[in-house]
Amino acid sequence: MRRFIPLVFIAPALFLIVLFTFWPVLSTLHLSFLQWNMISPRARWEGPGNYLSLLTGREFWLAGYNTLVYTVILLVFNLVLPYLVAYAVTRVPPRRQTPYKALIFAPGVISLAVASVIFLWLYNPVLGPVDILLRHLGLGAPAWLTGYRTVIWALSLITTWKLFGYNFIVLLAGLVAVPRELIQAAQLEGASGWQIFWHIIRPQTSATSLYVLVMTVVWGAQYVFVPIQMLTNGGPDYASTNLVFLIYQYGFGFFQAGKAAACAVLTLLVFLVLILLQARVLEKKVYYED
Amino acid sequence: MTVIAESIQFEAVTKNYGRVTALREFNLEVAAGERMVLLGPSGCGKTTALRLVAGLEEAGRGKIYFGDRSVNDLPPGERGVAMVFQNYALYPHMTVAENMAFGLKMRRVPPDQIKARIDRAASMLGLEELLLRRPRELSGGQRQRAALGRAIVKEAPFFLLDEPLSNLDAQLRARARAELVSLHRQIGSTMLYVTHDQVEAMTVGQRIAVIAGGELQQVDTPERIYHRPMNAFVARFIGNPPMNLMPVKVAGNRLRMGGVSLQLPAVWAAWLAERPQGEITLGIRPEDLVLRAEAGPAGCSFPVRLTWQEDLGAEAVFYLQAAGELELVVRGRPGGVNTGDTLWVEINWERVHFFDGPGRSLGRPQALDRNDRSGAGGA
Amino acid sequence: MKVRRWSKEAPWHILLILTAVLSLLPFIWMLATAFKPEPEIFAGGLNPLPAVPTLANFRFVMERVPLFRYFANTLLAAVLITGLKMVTSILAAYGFTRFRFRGREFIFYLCLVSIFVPVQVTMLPNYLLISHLGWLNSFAGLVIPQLADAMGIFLLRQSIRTVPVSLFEAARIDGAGHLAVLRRVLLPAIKPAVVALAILFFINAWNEYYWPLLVLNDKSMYTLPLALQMFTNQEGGTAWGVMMAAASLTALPPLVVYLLTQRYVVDSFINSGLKG
Repeated sequence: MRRFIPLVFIAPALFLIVLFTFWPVLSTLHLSFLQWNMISPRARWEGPGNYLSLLTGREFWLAGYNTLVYTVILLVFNLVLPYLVAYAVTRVPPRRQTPYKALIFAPGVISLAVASVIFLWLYNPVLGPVDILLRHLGLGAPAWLTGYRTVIWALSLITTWKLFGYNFIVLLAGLVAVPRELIQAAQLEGASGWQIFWHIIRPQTSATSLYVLVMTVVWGAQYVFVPIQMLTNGGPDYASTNLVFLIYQYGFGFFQAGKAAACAVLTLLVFLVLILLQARVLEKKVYYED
Repeated sequence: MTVIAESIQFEAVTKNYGRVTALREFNLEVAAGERMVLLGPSGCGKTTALRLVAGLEEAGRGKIYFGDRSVNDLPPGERGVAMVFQNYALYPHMTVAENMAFGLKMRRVPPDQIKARIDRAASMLGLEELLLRRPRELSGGQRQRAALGRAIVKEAPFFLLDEPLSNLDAQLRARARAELVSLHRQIGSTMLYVTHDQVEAMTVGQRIAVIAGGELQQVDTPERIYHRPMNAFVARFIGNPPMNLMPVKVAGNRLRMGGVSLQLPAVWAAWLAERPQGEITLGIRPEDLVLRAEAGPAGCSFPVRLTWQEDLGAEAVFYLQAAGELELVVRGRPGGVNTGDTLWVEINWERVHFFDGPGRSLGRPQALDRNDRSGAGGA
Repeated sequence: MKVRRWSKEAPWHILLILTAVLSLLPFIWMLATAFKPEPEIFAGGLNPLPAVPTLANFRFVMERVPLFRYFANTLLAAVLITGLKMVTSILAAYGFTRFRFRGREFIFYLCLVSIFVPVQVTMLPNYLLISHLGWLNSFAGLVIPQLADAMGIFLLRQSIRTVPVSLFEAARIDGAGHLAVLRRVLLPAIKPAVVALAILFFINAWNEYYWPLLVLNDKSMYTLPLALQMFTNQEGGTAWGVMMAAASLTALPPLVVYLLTQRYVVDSFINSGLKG
C-alpha cells in the first residue's frame, strides 16, 4: 500500500501530461496515415500518401525554409542580444540594476496577441511611427507585413519584443550564479575584462545559454505562430508561413486532418533533429553546474 | 518532568544502500534511561543506526525493539522519539515557540498543555527571551538550544541526537556537553547520541558503542573503552595522540620491535608464553612511555632520536624515531630537549596492550590488575 | 575617482537605456494612440502625447464587444488554470523529490520531454478529444487541457531540492503526515518560488491565445486576447484608436500584476533556479 503513495502525488500531473501531450503525439502519428476532413464519420486509410504529397509539394519546403530563417533571426535577437544586455546589467552597481531589470522584463508579461496588434499599428505603412520615422530620415518605407522580404523580419521582431525580457532574465540568472571568487581570482592574475568574460563567464554560463537556445528554437516557432495567424495568415503567398502555421492551416483552414498530422510529425522530427544536433555540437563545450 | 523511558534493542540489523552495507548484523542493547553514545569515523554506520531507531530508514534485515515491542513497521511520528539534527532542522518560517509547538499540535496535545510544556522547556534551557524569534535571528548556540527545546517538549521516551554539537565553536561545545548531561538527568529518557568526537563521547556517554565499517567494535563504559580496548581499531580510535601500535616478536623473556630488543617483565613473559605465538602487536599509549635523558638499566630502555616536538604549554608531544624505522609518540613535560637530541624511552609495562594478528586484544595477566590504578576493573 | 567609474560604466548604461527604451516604446505608442481622437491619429506625426486626450476609443470598445464578459471569462479561466496547475505541479514536484521509487527518474524526464513537444503537434487530437466530450465552447474544454505543466514541476523540484532534507525528517518525527508536511513545512519554506511561479502561471494563462482560438467559436465565450482578433480582421482595419484601446485593456491586468510584484517576481526568477 505504501508503495503507491508517491503515485498519488504524481498521478494528477502525469495523467494530464500523458492525456494531452503523449497520447496526442501517437494519435497524430495515426492520423497522419488517414485521409479525413474531421467531420465525416469515416476516415480513409491513406498510407504514406499525406507524406508524399507534402514532400512533393511546395508549401512544406517553403515553410521549412521559413522556419529556419525565423529560428536564425530569433537566435540572434533572443539569445545573443539578451545575453549581451544581461552581461551589461552585471557590469553596473546592484543599486542601479533594478529599474533596468524591471523595464526590460516588462514586455514579457504581455500577450502575443496584444503585441501583434500593437505592431500591426507600428508597421502601418501610412500612419505607423516606424514608416513616418523612416520617411523623415529620407529612407524608403517598406510595406512590412506585405513584402516578401520584410514579412519574416517584421513578425520575428514582434516575437523578439515579447520574448526578449524572459530570456534576458534567465540569462541574467546564469550570469549572477557565476561564483564571484572565480572572477576575483582571475582579476588577481591580471586578466582583462574581456579575458574574464571569455575564459570564465562564458563557459560558466554555457549550460544556461544552451537551455535558452533550445527553448528559443522550440518555442520560437510556436510563439511566432500568433502574429502569423493574426496578421498575415501565412502570406503573402506563404512568405511568412512556418511549419507550425502550416499544420494549423491544413487542419483548421483546409480541414485536411491527415495532411496536418503528417506535417506535425515531420515538424516534430525536424525539431528533434535540431535539438539533438545542438546537444551533440555543444556537449563538449558546455560546462554543467552539477 | 520525567518520562517513562524504555530500552532499545538492535537484533541482527543489516542495512544496505544499494551495494553499500551501512550496518552488518548489528546487535546492541541500550538500557532504559541510559545515555549511550554511538562513536565512530564518518561513514561507519552510526548515523544509520540512529536513523533506524527514529524510523527515518527501514531496516533491511533484523529487528529493532523498544522495550519488548518490535517497531520495524512503525512510522517515525508514532515511535515516541525526539531528535536533534546536526543542522538543527528548525522550521525557518516558525518562531522558536512555534517550532516547539509543531510536533505537539500534530499530536493534538491541548493548547494549554502545549504552552505549559514550552514554558517549562524554555526555562530549563534559558530560552525565555527567544521564544518569539525566528531561527535566522538566533546565534549558533541559541539555535542549538532551540533544537534541544523542540526535542524535549515532546517528553518522548527516546531522545536521539545526531552530532548536535558539531556546529558550535570549541568553547560553547564544552559548556553544551555538560548541559546536555544535566538535561538528560532531569528528563530521564533513553538517550542515543551520535558523534565522531571522542571527547564528546567520553564526557557525555554512560556507555560508548564504537562502530567501524558497519560493525560494532565494542560497547563499554568510557573508562574501559580507553583502558581496555578490545581491538586495535578501538585502541587507536580513542585517545589523542593515538596509541602507539608496533609489530613485535616475543621469544622467551625477550621482546623485539624494529631494531630494538627489550627485556619483558616476568609476568608478561609467562603470560605470553601461554598465548598463540606469531605476529602480535604491542600497544602503548603516549602517556605510558617515559622519556629520559639517560639510559636506564640494560634492557629496560632504548635510545631514540627526537624528530619533532609540539609544546602545548601544560604538556608536550614528542615524535621519536628508534632503530629499525620504529616511530613513537610520547606525551610528557615540555622543555629541556631539542629536536635532534638522542633520548631514552622506558615503557610502563603495567599499561601495555597486546593484540593478535587480526587485531583482537589478547587481554592481560590477572596478576597485574591487583594493583591496577586505572579504575577500570578486571579484564 | 567618480568620473573614472562613470566613464567605465557609461557604455553599459547606454546599452541598457537603449534596450529599456525599445522595450517601452510599443507600450507608449499603444497608450498614446488609445487616448487620441481619430482625427489626431490620421494626422500622423510622432508626438506620443495626445493633444486632446479622449476616452472615446474605450467607450467604443465597450459598445462593440461585451468587454466585461470577456474580462470575466479571461479572469475565471486564468484563476482556475493558475490555481489547479499550482496544485498538480506542487503535488508532482513533492512526489518526485520526497519519495524514492522505481522509475522515478524515467517518469520525471518523460514529463520534461513534454516541454519540447510543440502544442501544434498535439492540437488535432486534443481538439478532437475535447469536441468528442462536447466541451467545445466551455470552460472545461478551455481549462482542463492546461492544468499540468512540466516546466512548473521542474522549477518547483529545483526549489524543493534546496530545502534541507532534515527539515522533512524533523516534520516526520513530529508526526506530520505528507499533507501536513506539504502545507505547513514545505510551502512556507519555498514560498517565494511558489508565488513567483503562480504569478507566471497567471500571466501566461491570461495571455493564452492558441488554445482558446481552437476551442472557442462562440463569441460569448471569448477571452480578451482572442477578442482582439475581431479588431484586426473585420471592423478594426482603420480604427486604430479603438484597436489600441482594446489592446490596452487586454494588457492591463498582467501589467498591473507585474507592476505590483515586479521586484519580487524578477528577483525570485533570478534566485529560483529558473535557469534550469
